[in-house]
Amino acid sequence: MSEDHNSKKWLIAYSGVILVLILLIVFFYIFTQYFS
Amino acid sequence: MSVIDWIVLIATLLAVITYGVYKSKSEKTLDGYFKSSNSMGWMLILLSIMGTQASAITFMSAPGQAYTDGMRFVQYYFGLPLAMVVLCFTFIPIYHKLKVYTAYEFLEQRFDVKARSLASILFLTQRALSTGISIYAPSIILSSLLGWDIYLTNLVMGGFLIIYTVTGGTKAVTYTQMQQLIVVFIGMFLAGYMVVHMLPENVSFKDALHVAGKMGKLNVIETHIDVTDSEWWKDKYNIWSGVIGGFFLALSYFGTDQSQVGRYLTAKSTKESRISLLMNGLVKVPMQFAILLIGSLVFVFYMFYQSPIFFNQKEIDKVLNTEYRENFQGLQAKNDSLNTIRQFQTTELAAALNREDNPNIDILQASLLNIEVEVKEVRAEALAVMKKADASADINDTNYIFLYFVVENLPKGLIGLLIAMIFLSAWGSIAAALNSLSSTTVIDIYKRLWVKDKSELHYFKASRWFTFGWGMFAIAVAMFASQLGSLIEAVNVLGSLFYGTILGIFLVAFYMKRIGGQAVFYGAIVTEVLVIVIYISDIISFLWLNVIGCLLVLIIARIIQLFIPKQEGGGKVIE
Repeated sequence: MSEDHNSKKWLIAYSGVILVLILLIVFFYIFTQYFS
Repeated sequence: MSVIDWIVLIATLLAVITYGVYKSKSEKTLDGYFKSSNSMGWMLILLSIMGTQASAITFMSAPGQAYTDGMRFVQYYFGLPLAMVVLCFTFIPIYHKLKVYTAYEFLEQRFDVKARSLASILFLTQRALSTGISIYAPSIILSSLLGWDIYLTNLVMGGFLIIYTVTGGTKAVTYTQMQQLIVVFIGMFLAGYMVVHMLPENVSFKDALHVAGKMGKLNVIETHIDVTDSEWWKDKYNIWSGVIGGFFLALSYFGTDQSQVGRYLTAKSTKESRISLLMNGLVKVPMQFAILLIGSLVFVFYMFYQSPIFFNQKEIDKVLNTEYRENFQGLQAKNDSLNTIRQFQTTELAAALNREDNPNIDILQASLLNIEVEVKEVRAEALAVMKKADASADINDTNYIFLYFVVENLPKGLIGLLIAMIFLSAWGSIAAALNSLSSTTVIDIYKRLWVKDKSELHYFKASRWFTFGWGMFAIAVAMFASQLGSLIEAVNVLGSLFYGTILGIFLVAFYMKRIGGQAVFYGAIVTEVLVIVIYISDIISFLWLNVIGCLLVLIIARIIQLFIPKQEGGGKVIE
């Protein structure tokens, strides 16, 4: 596997983790508002 | 505890010790003892990382925190996934490339032996003391709740894990952490299920969430900062301190604390290390959310049933044996009558929520919040009485709430399992700490500065002895901890005092290539003094100390470098 392809794969993985964090924060915000 | 609980407790603990000793047979080299000969896959490392971070106090304290303060504590973990990403592309490739045993080894290759020794001594100091407190903190709670002897509890809490940690090194620590986490997850799931199950028949899980929300206990996100309040920066848990402070804390803990670095250095490859850290970033926040949710549900449980005025019965017994007995009992009676009104109104609120009767919901919510204020006032009076009766009384019962609920309400067998869970979660993090204390002592001090040219077998044997020695030291700290009083709190924040500085040294190493050993060494010492001064002045929440410490090292090292001749300045560039 080429190095370029490899680093692109990791970049996608890192972006995925950050996206999940953002989605969790949005979910928690809605959760807080809904049950308050 | 009943006989069944004792059987469950002893059988669970024995099973884990036996498994640990069984797994520890084949390791006879330094590489095998500290790095499992780089044989671990990402799943085992992930469980090991989680088992190291989640100590007994995590499972005792977090539900209590949600009970008293709601769920906003989860924000403290928001910086963690971001830190995992930074570690994956900065720290991990370099550690693996240099094939280091400890994080601090890298500092000598980049700067000099002074910087390496300073960082390892800072680590050894704070980790050795905090490991002693990791033994003492759950032991004192168990001994208070179950009437056990504190010294014997300390011995069991800190003693048995030494057997497999000494004999099997990292491999045994990792494999037992897997078993320990399985028991912990089962225990927490059953506890969460039981809280909901024990609510009154007509109250569903959703109703319980609504009641918790109306009482302000589901406040996961707090974006509001009142800058007109002069103390706003002392507020520990809002989204800003969570993301920024939590990021720096997680970066320093996972990137520079050998108890964590030692876990992912066992990986087969950089790929396995990276996947384990990224998965940790994905699961940690939801896991912490679930643990805190159990605490909020315990709060709802006590809205339907009588809750004690204080959750540490041992302290109550003490005050009842003094001249303040009647005074305290009067406050207990007041608390009970407020509880009775609260029970009635909570039942009404649950019914109104079911009917979607909004006007009544608002009235009952306002009334219940008023009662909550009164309950807190009565409790504050009771705490004042306890302090009058005994100035040394421990009036913080947050860590007792969850286990009190467990011991008083859960069925036989499950109590034993949850007590076993407390022991095993403690063992997981203590074993990793002893392993890292030993690796740092042997690799960074003993082999590097003290006894230099001995055989592999000599260092392997020394590693076992140092693991044993640090275990004994941690137990000794735990034994003396009851006499330390308020110093315990200081020891607990020790990590925050040192982490920022250590992280600063590493960030200079990675990103400020023109700065050399002299500048970073003196920059770190000046920073450490300043961080301690800021902590003593009590002007800011401890979460920010990591950020301040880290930034100060970067700035001060840069300034000092300006005054150092070039030939002494530049460090070695490691790409």
